[in-house]
Amino acid sequence: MNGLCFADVADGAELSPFAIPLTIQRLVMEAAANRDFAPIHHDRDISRATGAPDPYANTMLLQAVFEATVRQWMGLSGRLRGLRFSMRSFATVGAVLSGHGRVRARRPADGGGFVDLEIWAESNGAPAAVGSATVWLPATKEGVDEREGDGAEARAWRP
Amino acid sequence: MAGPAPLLDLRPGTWEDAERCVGRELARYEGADDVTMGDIRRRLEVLAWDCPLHYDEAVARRCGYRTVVSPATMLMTWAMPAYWVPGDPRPTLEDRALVPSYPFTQIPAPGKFMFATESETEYLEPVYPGDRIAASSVLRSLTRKRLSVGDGAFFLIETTYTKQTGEVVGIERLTVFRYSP
Repeated sequence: MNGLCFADVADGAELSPFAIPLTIQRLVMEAAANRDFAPIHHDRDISRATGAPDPYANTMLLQAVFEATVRQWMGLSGRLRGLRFSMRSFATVGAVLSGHGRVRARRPADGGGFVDLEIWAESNGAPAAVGSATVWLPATKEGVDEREGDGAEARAWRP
Repeated sequence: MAGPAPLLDLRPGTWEDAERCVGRELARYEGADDVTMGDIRRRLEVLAWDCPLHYDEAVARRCGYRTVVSPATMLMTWAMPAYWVPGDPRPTLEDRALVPSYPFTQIPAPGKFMFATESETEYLEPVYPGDRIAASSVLRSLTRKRLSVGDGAFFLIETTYTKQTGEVVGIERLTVFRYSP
């Protein structure tokens, strides 16, 4: 199965961006997917009345973009263990929102190791959120892939 | 839209009211529905995110999961209560705009608006279709602040997510800014 193992990871390696255009339509689709129907995320009049420049991406959309960015890089065997970020600016309608990352540190652990990533989101190239993520990767490409359900997932998820 | 924008459905109060909530459990709540394949599919759809762990059972099992697994970052969605339940009043044009009924929207405070400023989550256990996610939220701190958007306060809310088995699946620390422009 495709996916990075711990030994594959180099300090400083940069993740490929994961980008999504923020049209009103896609923000409405996002609200339907994450069930946050707060109008600041899809209604121009209400978002502007709150002091925002326009409807903007919510926390759940940023979380998902970061997970997709990290997943796209590490493949199927890794586990997202932690995600932390601070907002820097509104990622508003009309922008392209993209997730980015870079390897900051590696820590061996039983069965593989943890990798700490610097992560950030850009909205039309400007910082929208900055933070960090921690993932667990297996020691070898077979580390997780040969396991079959019912219990293995808990060990792999929480090494 | 004609006329003034409707206010969001945030509970009014004073900063002293809000400070009295620090350290307290704001609420225990449960997602309106079980985790479903359809909800997972819509999460992938909106991002055009092709990850077979979230739609292909055979791939997910080969990767150590019991079956198709939810994206880790869907906990807030899975624990979200309904916007309406039987017995609630019917909507009218005069209603304030709905916001998710997370406990932090019901902290009594002066601010008319709110947005998130920081998010930190530990993901501890996988979530599968059929799981029902519940949550408990505690207000950990309140810090008054004036920002460019207005005068208000940061609320730090810690939420522990559990599934129906009692397993803790994630712990989230979310900071929101409650303010008036």
